[in-house]
Amino acid sequence: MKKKLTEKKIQREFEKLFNDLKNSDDFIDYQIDHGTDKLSIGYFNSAIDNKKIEAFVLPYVQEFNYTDLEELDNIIPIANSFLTNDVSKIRRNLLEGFLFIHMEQSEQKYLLIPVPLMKTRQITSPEVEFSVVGPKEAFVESIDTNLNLVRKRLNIPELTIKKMKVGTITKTKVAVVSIKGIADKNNVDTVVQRIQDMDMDQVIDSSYIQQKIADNINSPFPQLLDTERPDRIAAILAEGKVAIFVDNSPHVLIGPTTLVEFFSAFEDYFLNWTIASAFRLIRVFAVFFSILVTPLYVAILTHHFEIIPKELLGTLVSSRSQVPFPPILEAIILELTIELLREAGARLPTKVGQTIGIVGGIVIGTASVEAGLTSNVLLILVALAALGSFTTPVYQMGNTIRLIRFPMLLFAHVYGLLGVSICIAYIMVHLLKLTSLGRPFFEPVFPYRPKDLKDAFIRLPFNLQDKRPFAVRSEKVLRETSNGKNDTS
Amino acid sequence: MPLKYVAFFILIFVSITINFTMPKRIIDKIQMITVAGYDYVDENTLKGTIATPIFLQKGEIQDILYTDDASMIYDLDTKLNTEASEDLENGKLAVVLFNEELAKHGVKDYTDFLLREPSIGSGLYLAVTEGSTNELLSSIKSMKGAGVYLSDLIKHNIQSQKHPDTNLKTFTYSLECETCDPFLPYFRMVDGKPKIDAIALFKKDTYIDQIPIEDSFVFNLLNGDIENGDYVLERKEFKAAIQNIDTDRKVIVNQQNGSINILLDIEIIGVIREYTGNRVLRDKGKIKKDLEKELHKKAEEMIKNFQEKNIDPIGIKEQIRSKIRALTIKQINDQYPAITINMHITYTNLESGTRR
Repeated sequence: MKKKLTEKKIQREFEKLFNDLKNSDDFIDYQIDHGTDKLSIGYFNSAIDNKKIEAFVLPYVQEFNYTDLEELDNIIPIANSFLTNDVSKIRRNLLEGFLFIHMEQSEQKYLLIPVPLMKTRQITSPEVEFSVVGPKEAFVESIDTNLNLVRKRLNIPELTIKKMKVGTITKTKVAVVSIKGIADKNNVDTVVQRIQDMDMDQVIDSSYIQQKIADNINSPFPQLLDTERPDRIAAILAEGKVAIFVDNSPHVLIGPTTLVEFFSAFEDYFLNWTIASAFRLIRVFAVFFSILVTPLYVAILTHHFEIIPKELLGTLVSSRSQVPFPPILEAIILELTIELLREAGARLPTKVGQTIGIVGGIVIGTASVEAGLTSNVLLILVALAALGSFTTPVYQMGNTIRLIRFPMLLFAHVYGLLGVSICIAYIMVHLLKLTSLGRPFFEPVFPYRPKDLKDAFIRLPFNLQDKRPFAVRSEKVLRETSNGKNDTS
Repeated sequence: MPLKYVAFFILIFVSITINFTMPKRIIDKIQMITVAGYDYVDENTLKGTIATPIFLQKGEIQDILYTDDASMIYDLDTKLNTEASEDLENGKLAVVLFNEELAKHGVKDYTDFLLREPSIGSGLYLAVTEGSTNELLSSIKSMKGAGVYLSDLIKHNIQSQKHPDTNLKTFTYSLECETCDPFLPYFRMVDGKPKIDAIALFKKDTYIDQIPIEDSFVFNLLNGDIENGDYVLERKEFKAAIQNIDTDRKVIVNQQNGSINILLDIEIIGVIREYTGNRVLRDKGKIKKDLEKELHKKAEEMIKNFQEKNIDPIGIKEQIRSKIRALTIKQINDQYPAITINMHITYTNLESGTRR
């Protein structure tokens, strides 16, 4: 009696399932005669690959002899097919690109065969983090391809991948990747726990996760590094960090990270250390220059004419003599122009964007000087500042640098150099307080760890970097080397 | 958001909006005084002249002179501001001139203002002029502007050791120091142009004497170490130009039976660059002897003059004070005119050049 009741219950559930599925027009099911029996086949047309069904499913279903689904399962040459009668499992798998086969006469059992449509972009060269030398592969939108790109660089059993699904609607696949024995277990657990605890209905891109699991979500500074280079991911995994892969996102997140890491391009590791160090220093200088130059211009011209060298005084005063605005308005006008150009350039298609760059750079700049709206000295400074902010290798950090000079401008106008100092102090305090996965963000400057300076503002040669960065708290601090005994086979 | 953040941002917002229209000193909305000259009128009045540049296009500068009488410098500033079209600011003041008459009456009251004003740097040059400062300032016709012109003029002379190092800081140090006396460059108009013609010697803050600029080498020799100086030795038979001169001054203080005895040991190293006699190599010894003799004579005269006037611009009293700690400053000052100062000058010729 009891058995019959449960069967009835299952029967009802299946009916409900099929009613639900048929709500969507792309759900297809049809029946085929097979001897005395009737087969029903169903799938979501938009989730499966029709060619696979035509080649690997239908010929075997129609031409071979079998009496039940288990035999059919053995005949069909597709891996990962299975029999089930779990309604929720069927529902989930159908949505992920499985098709089901059901025989009328057998019990309530369904054969699920994976025939998903795998339409992914070809692996292209990196666009955001382009480098002249070094590998030219970049991540794509498929998480399996991305994981493969990393696995092929780190073919060791210790590479562990923890897969999760987040987002109540999107059910996005997320993979937390680390190397067991090298990565700090606390870091891995923190990432896994934070992702599991995420309360979100949709995760469209890795940046959603970045914003959601960051230590301080109000900070303009990104606390997880994102990269599109599989070689970089391989390198940081070997350093003991944790990578977060998100399906449908070509950017992979790295944590824990430090501020200086945002100013190191991965190309630095492909160049000789002297050259790489020089470029890094230039980049750090560019950042400071980009943030400070316009606030300093405003502060000095408004409050502190004493510190202008007498040789420069004439140039500055005569360039400003036609300008009717105080330096703050002049600076805001120009900075806004540059920001407008940048936004316009970013929103427009590439070819139109190029013209916008020329129009902005040459026409608006010279015209505003000739019209007497801005001084040509400031025009040069603002253009250089914009150039400086482009040198940051990580796009998100570039945006931060764009933003934080605007409050500085206001303070520079009102309080002069004192105001600029106040702003710098505030940003410093903020950076000191900031953490990335609980690890200090401003390391190795604070807490001061001289050993980690080997790969911070400068990059010392590889043979001096025999230890993993202390900031990561790797379980194996010493990098194990082969001591010259490499596998020659 | 927690209340403290709200309060913090409100505070910042209010502070910025309230202070936004606070008076500013935007560089093209002020007039920067680059040089100021003060002339003596009578006991309570001085006549001040200031020059502020107007920046024309293409880096050209035109000076505007303002002049007025006032009882003190601060008063003068307020008076001159009523004449100027924009606010007059002291921040770029590079040179301050006193005329001889004013310097004779003491300059301490005026340097006090310069020291108190926070926007004035201590690298400012002070100078004494023979005639009226007004006349000197209006005579300068330079694209640089009077202030930059005069400060460059003094600066390059100090750098090439034509004039001993001086600025507001060293001057006021010598004023405050109880054993030393300051000196300043002395300007005279020659063919309508200002020229550093002498070193003005002060007794405390009053001008009393001058050394012609030709003797500045000897003054520098006594004052301290020279680096890369030059000197022309003139004799009836020949002339010799000695360049790349490095000197080393040592002050040796001896006290015997209560009387102080000072030896100035001066070593000179130089290169003979030009010689009008026959052969340098043969005459080297003669040049050395003549040079030592000439410098010795000049230095002795100069020191005698200092002792007669009871001034000490080269800091000998300070050396005595540091070597003989038992003497009080008053004792040193009293004994100074009578102490014997001997000199030992040696010249070493480094090379005399090669001829092609």
